[in-house]
Amino acid sequence: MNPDPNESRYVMRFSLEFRVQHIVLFVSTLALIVTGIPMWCIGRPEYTFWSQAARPFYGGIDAIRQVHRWAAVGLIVVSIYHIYYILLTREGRREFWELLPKPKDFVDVARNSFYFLHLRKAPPRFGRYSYFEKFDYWAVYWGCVIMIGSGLTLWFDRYALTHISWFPYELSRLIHSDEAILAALALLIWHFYNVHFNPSVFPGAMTWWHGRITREEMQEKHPLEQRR
Amino acid sequence: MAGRQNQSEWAIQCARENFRWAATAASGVGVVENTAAAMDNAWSLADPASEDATDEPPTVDYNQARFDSKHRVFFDISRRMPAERCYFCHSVSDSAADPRNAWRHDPDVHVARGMACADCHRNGLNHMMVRGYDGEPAAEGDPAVKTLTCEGCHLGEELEPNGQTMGGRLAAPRPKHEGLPVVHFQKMTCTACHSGPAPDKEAHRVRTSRANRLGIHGKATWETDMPFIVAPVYLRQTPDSRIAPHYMTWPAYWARIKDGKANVIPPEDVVKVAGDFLNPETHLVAILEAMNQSETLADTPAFVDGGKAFRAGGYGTLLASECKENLGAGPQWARWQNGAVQPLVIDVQTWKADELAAPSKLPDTFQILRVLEGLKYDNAAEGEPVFASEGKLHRLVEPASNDASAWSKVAVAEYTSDTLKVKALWGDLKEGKLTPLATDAVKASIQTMLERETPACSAAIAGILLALKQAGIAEAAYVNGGKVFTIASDKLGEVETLDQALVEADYAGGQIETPTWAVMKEGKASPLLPDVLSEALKETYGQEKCLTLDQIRQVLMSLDSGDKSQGEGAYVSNGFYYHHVPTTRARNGFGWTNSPEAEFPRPYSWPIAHDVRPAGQSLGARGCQECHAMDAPFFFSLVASVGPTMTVFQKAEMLDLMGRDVKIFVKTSSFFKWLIIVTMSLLVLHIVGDLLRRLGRRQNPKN
Repeated sequence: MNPDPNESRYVMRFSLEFRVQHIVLFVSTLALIVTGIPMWCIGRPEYTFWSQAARPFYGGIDAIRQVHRWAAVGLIVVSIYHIYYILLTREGRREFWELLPKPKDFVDVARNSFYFLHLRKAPPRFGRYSYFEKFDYWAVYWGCVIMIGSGLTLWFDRYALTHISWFPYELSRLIHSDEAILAALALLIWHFYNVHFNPSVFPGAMTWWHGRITREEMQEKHPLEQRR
Repeated sequence: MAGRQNQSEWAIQCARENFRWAATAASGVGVVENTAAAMDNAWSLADPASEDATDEPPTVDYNQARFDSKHRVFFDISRRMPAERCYFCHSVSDSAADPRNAWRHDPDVHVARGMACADCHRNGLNHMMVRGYDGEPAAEGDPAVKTLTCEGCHLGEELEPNGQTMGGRLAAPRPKHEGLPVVHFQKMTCTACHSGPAPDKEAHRVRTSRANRLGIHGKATWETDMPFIVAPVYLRQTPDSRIAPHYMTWPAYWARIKDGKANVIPPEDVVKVAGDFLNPETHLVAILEAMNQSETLADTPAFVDGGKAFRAGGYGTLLASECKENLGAGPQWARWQNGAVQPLVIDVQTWKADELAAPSKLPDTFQILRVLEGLKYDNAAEGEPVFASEGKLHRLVEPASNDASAWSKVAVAEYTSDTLKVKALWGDLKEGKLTPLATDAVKASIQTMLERETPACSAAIAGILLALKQAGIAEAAYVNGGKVFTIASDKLGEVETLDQALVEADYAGGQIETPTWAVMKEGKASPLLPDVLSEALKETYGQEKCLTLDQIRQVLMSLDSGDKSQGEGAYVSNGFYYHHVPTTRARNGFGWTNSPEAEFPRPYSWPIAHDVRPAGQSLGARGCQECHAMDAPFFFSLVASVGPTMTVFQKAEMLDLMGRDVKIFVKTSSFFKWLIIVTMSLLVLHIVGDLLRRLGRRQNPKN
C-alpha cells in the first residue's frame, strides 16, 4: 500500500475518504447516543433524574429531539455515501470485498478462543481485517439499516401512520430503543476496548486521524496482509 | 324546586303506576298513598270510591307547610339545573375499586371547578341535548355545537365568517401537550387520556344508574354487578376509528338462531319452556315449604348438599348454613335444628333386631342412637349403655335443655381397654369399666324399640308425602328397602291415623340403596329435586352468576324439542353462544361457539367522556412508558368477558380488542432483550480472554 515500504516506519492503512466517513459516523453516532439517552429516560419514571438533568442543558425535550434528528441526518448522509463508496469506487469495492466474512473468519474465531483458553500457543494470523473488525463493520451496517429505518418511522410518524398501520410503528419504537442500547453498549465496551483500552493501543490508536499504523503493528495484527 | 326533587320517590310512584301523582310525591308537595296498579283495569279517577278497602285509589296528603295563606305553592324552578338532578340517571360506581378512593380522588375536573352538567349538555326548546362528541356538529348540521366539544372549549374554533378564532368558552385552559408526538391527536380522542377511570391491570366492573338502578330505593342492585359492565376498555370508535375509552358489556339472552341471525326469545316464553330449570332456588323453597306444612314434622325441613344445609327462610327466600354432618352420599333431605341435621325420617322399618343385637359391621350413627335410646329406656344396663367398636366408644348424649323436642346425639370417644378385643358390642359402662350386655337382652330391647318406632316412622313418612301432595307434587314417593311408599288420597277420609294411608308396593325401578325421597315417573323414582337443579344450586348459591352449563343444556334441549322452524335454540352470553353442536367432539353434543361471522354475541360498548382528569393526572403525564411499556395497562390490561354463566372464559388483552397482534410485539421485545444479553456477554468474554492472555504473556513472554 505504501509507495515505498522500505523507507518508511509507517504503512498507510486507511485512505482519507475512508477516515472522513468514519469521523462523520462516530460524531453523529455519539450525538445520537447523548441525545437518545435522555429521550429514552423520559417516560421511564425510574430514570426521570437523567432526563431532568439533560433537559435544561438542551433547553427542553424538543431541542433534544432537534439535535437527535440533525445527528441522524449525519448518519443517513454517511450511510448513503458509503453505499456509493462500496459500489462505485474501486477502493470501496476492494475494502468491501476485504470486509466480507469468509470461512477463515470462523476458523479464526475458534483458533482465538482456543488461544485464550491456552489450548493454542499462538493467536491466529489475520489479513487486512480480523474477524472482530469485520464484526464491528457489520454490526454498524445492520445497526444503520435498523436504526435509520425505525428512526424515520418515528420521525415522520404522521406520514408513517397514514401509510403503514399502527403496529409496525409501535414495533419501530420498540426496536429503535432496543437496538440503540445494543449498539451503544457494543460501541462503548467492545469497540472502545479494541481501539482505546486495549493495552497494546492505550490510550488510543490514532489511525482514525492519520490513517497510518507502524510496521510492527502491521506485523503483529495483520501479518497476512503485509505478506501480500 | 330542583333541590327538593326526590327521583327515587318518583320511580317508586311510577312502579305503582301512580303516574298522575308521581310529580306531586317526588316534589315533596304531598305524600301519596295507595297504588293505582291494584285498581281494576277499568277503573277511572272519576269513579265513586269503592267500599272495598283493598281497592282504595291513590290519595294525596298535602304538606300544609308548603302552602301560603292563599293556598299557593312556591315552585322555584331553576333554569340552571344542578348536577345532582342528572346523577339520578347518569351515575357510575366502580364496584372493583376501593370505596375509600372516592374521597382520595377528585370528581370530573369541570364539576370540581363549579360547572354543572347542563353547562355543556345544553338544549333548546326541542330538548335535543348536546352530547358534545366530535362528530356531532356534522351529524346535527350545526357548526356552533363544535364549541361544546373538548376542542371547541379548549382550542377554540374558527367560526366567524372573517376567520376570527372564537377562543375557548369560560376561560378553558389551552392545552400545551409539550413534547407529545402529534400522532397521538390523530389516533386518539382527548378522552383516551383524560376521561374515565385510569386503566388497571384488569378492566374494572362498574355499576351504572340505568343498568343497576342505583339511587332508586328498593330497586338498586348493589348486591350484584349484573348485567356486568366493565371500564375502561380502549377501543376504536366509529366513525373515525380513533382510540377512545369505552364501557363494555356482553349481551346475554335466549335466542333462536336462523341464517346467522339471533332472534331474541322473550324471557316469559323461556320460562314457559324451561320451567324450574332456570330457578333451582324457587323449586327447592317450594318443596321445603310444602314439607314444613307436614303435621308430623316438628323440625325445619332442610336439604343437605355440598357441605351446606338449605332451608326455607320465609317469603320465598332460601337460607343456607354450613353443615359438616354427613347424612349419606349425595344430596339428602333432612331435619334442621339449631345448626344440626338429622335425616328427615330415621326410618327403622328395614332394621333387623338380630343383626343389630350382634352386629357384624358398624351400624350407622342413627341405628346406634335409636338402640342406645331403647336400652336406656328399658334400663337394660346397670351403668350407661354404650356401643364399643374397634377402640371407639359410642355414648348417648342427651340434650342439656329441658326441651323435649331437642335431639339426643351419639358422641364418639377413644376407648383403650385390653379386655376388649371384639370388633363391636353393646356394653354397660359402669365406673369406667365396660362389660358386655347379654345379646338376648339387647335383642329384646331392640325389638321393643322397633315396635314402638315403626308406626311413628310410617306416620312421619305419610305426613311428609301428604304435605308434598297437597302442595301439588302429586307423584311424591318414598323409596326404601326395595319398597315404594305413596299416599292413597282416596283413603284419607276413612283412616284414623296417617300411617294407615300409606300404600306400600314393591319398587321395580332398580336398585336404590339409601332411603330416597322421590317423584315417581313411569314406575321409576327420580330425585325430588332433580340432579340438574341440586348441582346448579350447589354451584350457584351465593354467587352472583346464576347459570350452569347443565341448566343451559336442559333449557336448550327443551327449546329444540319443539318447533325448530324459527331456528335453533341458543343462549348468548360472554361474547359466545351456547347451542347444540352436532359433532362428537363437543361434550354431550353441546358446546359453545364464537364464530367470527356471528355478529350477535359481540360485546356492546359505548364511549366514556366524563370523569375528566386534568393534564397532571392524565394518562401519559408520567411519561411515554405509562402506555408504551411492555405491561402498560393501556395496551395490556385484561378484559374479562362476563355474563350470567358460570363458565370462565379466557380474558382478552386490551390490544386484542383494538385489533392488534400482541404476540409479535412480545416476541420482538424478548428477541432484542436476548440479543443484547447474548451479544454483549460474548463480546465481554472476548475482551476478558484477550486481556488475560496479554497479561499472561507479559508475565511470561515465552507463552
